[in-house]
Amino acid sequence: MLRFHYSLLDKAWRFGQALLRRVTPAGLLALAALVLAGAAGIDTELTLAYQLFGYASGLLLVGFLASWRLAGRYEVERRLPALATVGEPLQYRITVRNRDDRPRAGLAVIEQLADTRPTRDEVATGLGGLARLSLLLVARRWQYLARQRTPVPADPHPLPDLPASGEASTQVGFVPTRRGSLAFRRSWLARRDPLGLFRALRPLDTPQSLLVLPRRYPVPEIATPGHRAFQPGGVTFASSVGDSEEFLGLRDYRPGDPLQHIHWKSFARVGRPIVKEFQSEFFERHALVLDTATAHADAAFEEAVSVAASFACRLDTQECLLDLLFVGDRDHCYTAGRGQLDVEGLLEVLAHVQPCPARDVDALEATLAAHRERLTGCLLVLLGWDAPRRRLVERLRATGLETLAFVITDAALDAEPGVWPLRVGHVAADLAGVATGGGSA
Amino acid sequence: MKPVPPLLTAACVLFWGLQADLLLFAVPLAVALEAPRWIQARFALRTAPLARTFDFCLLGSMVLAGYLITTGSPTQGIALALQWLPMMLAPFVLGQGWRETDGIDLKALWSVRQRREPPPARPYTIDFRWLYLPICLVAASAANQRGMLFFATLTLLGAWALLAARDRSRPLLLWAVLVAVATGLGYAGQLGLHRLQGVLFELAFSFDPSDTWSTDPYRSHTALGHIGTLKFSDAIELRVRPAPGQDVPGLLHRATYDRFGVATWFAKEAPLEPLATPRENGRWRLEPDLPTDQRVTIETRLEGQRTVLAVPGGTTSLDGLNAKGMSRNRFGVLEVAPGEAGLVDFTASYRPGFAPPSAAPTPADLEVPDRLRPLLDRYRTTLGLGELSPAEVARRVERWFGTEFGYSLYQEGDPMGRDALEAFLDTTRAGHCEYFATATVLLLRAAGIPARYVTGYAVTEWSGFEQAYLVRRRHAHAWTTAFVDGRWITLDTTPSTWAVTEQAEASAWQPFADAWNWLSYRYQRWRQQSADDALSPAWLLVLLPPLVLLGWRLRRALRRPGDTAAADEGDLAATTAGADSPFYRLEQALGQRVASREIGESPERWATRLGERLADAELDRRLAGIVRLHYGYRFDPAGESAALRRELEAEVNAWLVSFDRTGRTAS
Repeated sequence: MLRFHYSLLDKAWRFGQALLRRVTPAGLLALAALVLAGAAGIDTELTLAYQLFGYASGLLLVGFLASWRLAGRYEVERRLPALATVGEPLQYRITVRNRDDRPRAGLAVIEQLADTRPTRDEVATGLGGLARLSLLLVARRWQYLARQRTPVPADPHPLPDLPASGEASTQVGFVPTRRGSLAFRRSWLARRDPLGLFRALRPLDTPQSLLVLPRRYPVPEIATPGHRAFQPGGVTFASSVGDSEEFLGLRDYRPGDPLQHIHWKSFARVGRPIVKEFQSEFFERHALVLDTATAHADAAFEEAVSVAASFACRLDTQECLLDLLFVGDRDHCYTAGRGQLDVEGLLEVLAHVQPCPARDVDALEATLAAHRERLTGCLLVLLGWDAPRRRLVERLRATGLETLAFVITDAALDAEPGVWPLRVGHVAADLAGVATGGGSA
Repeated sequence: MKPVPPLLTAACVLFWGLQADLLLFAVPLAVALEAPRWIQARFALRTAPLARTFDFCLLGSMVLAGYLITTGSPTQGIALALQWLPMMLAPFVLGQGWRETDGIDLKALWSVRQRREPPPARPYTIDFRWLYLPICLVAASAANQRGMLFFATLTLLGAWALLAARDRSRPLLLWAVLVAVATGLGYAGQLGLHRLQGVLFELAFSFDPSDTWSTDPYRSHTALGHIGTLKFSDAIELRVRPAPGQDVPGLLHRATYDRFGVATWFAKEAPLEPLATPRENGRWRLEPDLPTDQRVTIETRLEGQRTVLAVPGGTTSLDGLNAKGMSRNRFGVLEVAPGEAGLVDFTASYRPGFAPPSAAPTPADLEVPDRLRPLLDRYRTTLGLGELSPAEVARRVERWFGTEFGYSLYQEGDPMGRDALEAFLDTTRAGHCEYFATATVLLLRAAGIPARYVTGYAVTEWSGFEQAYLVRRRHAHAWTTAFVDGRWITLDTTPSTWAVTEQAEASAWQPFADAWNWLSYRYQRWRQQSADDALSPAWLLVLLPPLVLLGWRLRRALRRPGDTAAADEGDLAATTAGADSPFYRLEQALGQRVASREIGESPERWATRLGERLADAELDRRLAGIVRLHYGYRFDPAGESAALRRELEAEVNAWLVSFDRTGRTAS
């Protein structure tokens, strides 16, 4: 039954997307009037709604014929940034070139992503057995997932008048909602008919992709767990000794940076936030461990990835090494710090991480054990506080490793030192309430 | 979508009020809907309460529609419910118009989001005030005020709305021409639709002769001479239940005729006169002094106008029939004037073979049309009817039709152009019951036996499910009554296989149609039985679905108070404060027409760059002010966001209007 529902929704979704591209909001209103009038006007002796039906039909027919084709020859170029972040507005420019010797006006661009339909497994994931029999519930699940995959609005973006053999640009803005690769498929050039009911369309293939990094939250000033220790690897990993705080330079603001580090003069000059970067000379090696032992990439898992990304940005990898550890089809360890990956590299890794239902918390513990010797501190981002996870933390602490655990859970936890619950949907507020203390700075 | 043009909503509402005779409601409603344009005050109405308002509007509409449909004629109830729809939805539309933000998230109206899922990326916002316009027009149409006013006003209002949606890069003249063409097409289309309905109705009833037998006791148009196949409806007309232990009468008599024209039978000099004795103790006595022991109960539907009843031959009294009056003619045809439309059931007491004295033969019962005299004389001679007694004549005629003729619903055109009856007797030797009845009557008359043409129903189909005989429209039948040996006898010469042939022609949908008919019949019985009870179970049937729907939605809302759209708005705001600033609309508009903001370019820098290209210094100054307001709305945590947003919205709207008026940019 789910297969049948999926097939039906697939066709309906594609038809719906094509309809929304082709028909303007005014055209949809005319269609709605047509349907209402059709239902109320079945008996032409009972009401006059058939007259409204006739009128709406006439408008739609004329509008449809007047938008039959879009004349002209065009090229489209899309200038995407390399990276984006979930929850952060993104803007990019689209340029359209007119290859004709006639000027064009009233054009607009509609972006189309590559296949945004959810898979059958994704649809089935959020539905119980009986719920899969209900077309209504399956349809809602489908629509929710599809819209999550379509952050780029399908609304047309108006272009300035296009001069003959010239070009015009427009800005498209959207807020990415899912991490990972966002693939663009094509751009549609559109022009409304004179009545404003339909759009004449011209598809232009413009395949391109954009990597969306995980959402990050402001992370408070917490002392990272652990202490300075001799790091095997020598000068490769350490290039200075002593204790001082030295002003290193200025760089662009990244979400999560403390606001007191903003360099206001530079901000006023360039019109975008600039922060000061300091060097503090101590050397630690931390593990940032992400729990992936879950069946589905649900909201809790996404929050865990976001928390891990937030800490990856917050921890100063100029002064320490940060090992990002998680379990997937194999054990993954990515090190950021001097000469290794930079923070963007870690974020890109986190952008692609997926849950691993086949391997449980024990696998994670084994991975940690293999790296234990060189770690000075451990930050765990866990998906629950069940017995295996509690044991993991206890065992790590038993080896002398200072450990902080951030648990993505809605359940109330008994207060434990170094264990912080973070509620789904309220992570920012819960992180802000995390107290400082422990370890050394 | 753009906002609704000023005064368009009021115009539609007033038009609805005018058509539906509800101006008393329409005028204040129109004022309330347009007032937000001039009054700055707004309600801080979040999405969740507005969604609940929508639920109650929907519930109210369903309850009203159910009440109107169940307490009166269904079709009139639907029309009335449509007329009241704008009023029932008014609270929701007013709520949207008077709240701070335009539009409403469509998903919030039907939200069933899973608890642990993050909110959707982009709310699908709809301005319901646009949808309210066609709703008002449909409601106005339900008032059914015939004439040109409706279509003329419809085109004006439509053009008004289209003016807001038109593509301004195209010439206005082109738009006007296309609107005129569309209006012309629409006018022709609606005329065509109206005519199409008439044609479809005619086709649907095009040849169902039983329909022409309906209630005229003075004439009966036959299908003699019809070329092609006759199609009869499967609709159930009567339900017949004999008294326990008794047989059901095989035929129910409706009307009798004694003069034959060209394919039409007439009842001459047989006026319907009120019964001599009125109803007494619920009983209509037709023959007061005649004892009877045969009874049958008949259920049928009366439509409110005078109707000829179908009763067994020899009916002497009727019990349980609530009618204002009853008339009868000399043939025993009964016409009733019902109190009101609806299902009726009555018990007929009858004496098989009885005919009232007033039914004595007259010279008209021996008349034969001159054009058919030679034909009938020939067959009278061929069959040797002249030498036989009346009873023997009747038997011979019956046997002749039974052995030499067959039953058929199909007739071909006669290549020789002969009279239909002549072709039937000479050549085809097959036809439907009207052929047999007419030929039998005329043949008997030619043999000197008074005879009459009778129409009614045959009772042949037993329904075990309903425990009753079902009499359908295709069971309508015609037969002969002949005066033999001093009494009227029934003579049915149609081959007995006719019922089987009719059954074979039944539609494949008949079981479903019967099931629906039975449900409808039970519902009507139940309604009638509980009609006097103000709190009857009928009301539960009407109220239950909307109450269940409302209860389900309220339960979901109460169970997850943290998941309301209002909470979503708060979470979204925490992530992208000021993302709904009206400044972005200005940015988009100017980006299209003047210059767009570069990536990384601050709004202030962009405004400065734009100011160099504006023709009007005042516009430049105001643009800088708008940017400052935008910064305050976007970044100032201590600012009063709602008031600031309204101020910013007003400034942006005013700036755009000024920009359009003064022209574009300095060259």
